[in-house]
Amino acid sequence: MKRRLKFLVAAITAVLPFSAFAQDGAGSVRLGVEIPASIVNVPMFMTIDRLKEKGVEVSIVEFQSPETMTLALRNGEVDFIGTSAGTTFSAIDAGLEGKAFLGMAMSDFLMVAKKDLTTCQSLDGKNVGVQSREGTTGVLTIRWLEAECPDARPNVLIVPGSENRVAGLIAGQLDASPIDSQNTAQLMALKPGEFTTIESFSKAGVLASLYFASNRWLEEQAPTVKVLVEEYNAVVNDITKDRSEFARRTKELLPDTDPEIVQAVVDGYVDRKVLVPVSGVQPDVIEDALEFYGSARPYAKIKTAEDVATTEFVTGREGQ
Amino acid sequence: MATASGFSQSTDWKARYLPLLLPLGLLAVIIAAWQAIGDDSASIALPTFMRTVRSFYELIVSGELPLAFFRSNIALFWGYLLALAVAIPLGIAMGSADTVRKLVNPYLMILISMPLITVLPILQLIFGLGLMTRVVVVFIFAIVYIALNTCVGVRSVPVDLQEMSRSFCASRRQQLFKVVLPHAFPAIMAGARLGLGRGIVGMVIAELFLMSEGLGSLLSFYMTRFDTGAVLAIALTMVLEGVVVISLARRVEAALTRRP
Repeated sequence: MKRRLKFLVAAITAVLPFSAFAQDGAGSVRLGVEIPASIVNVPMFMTIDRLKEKGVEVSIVEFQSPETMTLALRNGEVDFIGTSAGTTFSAIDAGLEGKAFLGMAMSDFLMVAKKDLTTCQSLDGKNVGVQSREGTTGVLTIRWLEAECPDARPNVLIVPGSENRVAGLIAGQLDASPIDSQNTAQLMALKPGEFTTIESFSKAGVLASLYFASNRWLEEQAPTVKVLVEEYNAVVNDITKDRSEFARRTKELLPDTDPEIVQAVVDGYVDRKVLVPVSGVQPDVIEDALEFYGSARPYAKIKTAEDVATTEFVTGREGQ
Repeated sequence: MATASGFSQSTDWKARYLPLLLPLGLLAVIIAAWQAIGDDSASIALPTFMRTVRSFYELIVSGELPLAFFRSNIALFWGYLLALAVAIPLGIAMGSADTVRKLVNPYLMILISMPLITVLPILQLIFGLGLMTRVVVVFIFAIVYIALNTCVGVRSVPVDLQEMSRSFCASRRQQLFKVVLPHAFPAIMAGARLGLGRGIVGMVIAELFLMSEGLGSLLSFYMTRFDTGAVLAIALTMVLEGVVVISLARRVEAALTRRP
């Protein structure tokens, strides 16, 4: 009997530390990323490497669509996700109890068109492809058309996936489409002289994407979130001072793209201050984004910036 | 005597109503369970049965669902019609001539085993962003089962029946229309039904992954809003369409095979 008791105590003693670690979950974080990953994800990948050195493991879970990724966040299958501001706001408006805690990027879309279409008015009667009517590309395009050429009547087609829109442009099925700077550069390199950019939507100053988590996780893992945000902000600040590591990592991510083109995209990102870890969650930027995305469909539950974002974790200033 | 009559009446009642009551009872249990596990506190949560029905009603009243349904079914109609027009003669040729069967069969097997979703961007590249691509996708999804079933039906015609028709000096045309096709008809219809089901799947996949129009577009639209009630209502509409058109096909088959 004594031997059995001793064995039981020894077994419990051996198992306890592991179970405590499993319950705590500290030091282990799961990030949801939409594939294919692009330049906008690179600063987070750099942050993950630095956090590893500090003992914080961040594993990456890949998703095909922002909607499935958001549902995975709701079900607790990932801890935080990097996704578009429109998706984040829609999810919160639909009842997901979460908040954006770190800014990601401002819009860097360009209206790319066939070379002979050089003005907004020239798109009259042409096929213009957008991701969705309520998403960033759809709202940017519709607002731009209304402001710049209200008489033009292009056929606005819903073509999900930027790669499908690029394929549509190459095949001549689309005449114009808003495409991010990375894909635009790749398209221009693939078909030199065949396409032109009519408009840069980065001028619109609209928040495009951010990092988003459930309220519960933000509360329970506040110290880890603080470390993550601080490190990410440090990475972005380092990129501002020296873009070489950012360029190297982006070139690694896009091995099939001409390194010179990647460098140009990286330069554009840094010079135009596309990355906005701190300002991306500030109330004024969020209010503007809510007004922008809500113009296609007003939100039912979201009233203020505080309903969708928190500045609790961001400290310091970006680009310092 | 009275007992025997009572027993007989009870058996009649069971035979008459049980086949109807059992499925209805199961359906009621499923709906009750669905209603119980659903959560209407947030639109992102699993919708209850009642919320799904309400979303369905709202989509109908707003006109969104009927319009999307109509747009989607244009592709289904043309794609399926094209599949029937190509697959039935192809299946007859495969069933009648070993050379044709050996030649075509590997390609049909490729179409069966290949995840067709992977070739959608290529189809879009070839056929464009319009209706044509969606028609082609429906055609590809539907053709295989119709052709293979027709082939099996033709090959199952008894040899002695064919020999008899030849001994009565029936022409090849007469053999085909008087012997082969009537015998192969149930298999062809089974293939047509399967093809129709696959065609509906193809119709939706094409809209979800290529240019959005019709039901696929509506589904994407409500998915981006995380309105799960509407998403489920649209998905159930597709299921309902499949069930209705396949039931109709079965009735057509029964009417055509009924002896005079």
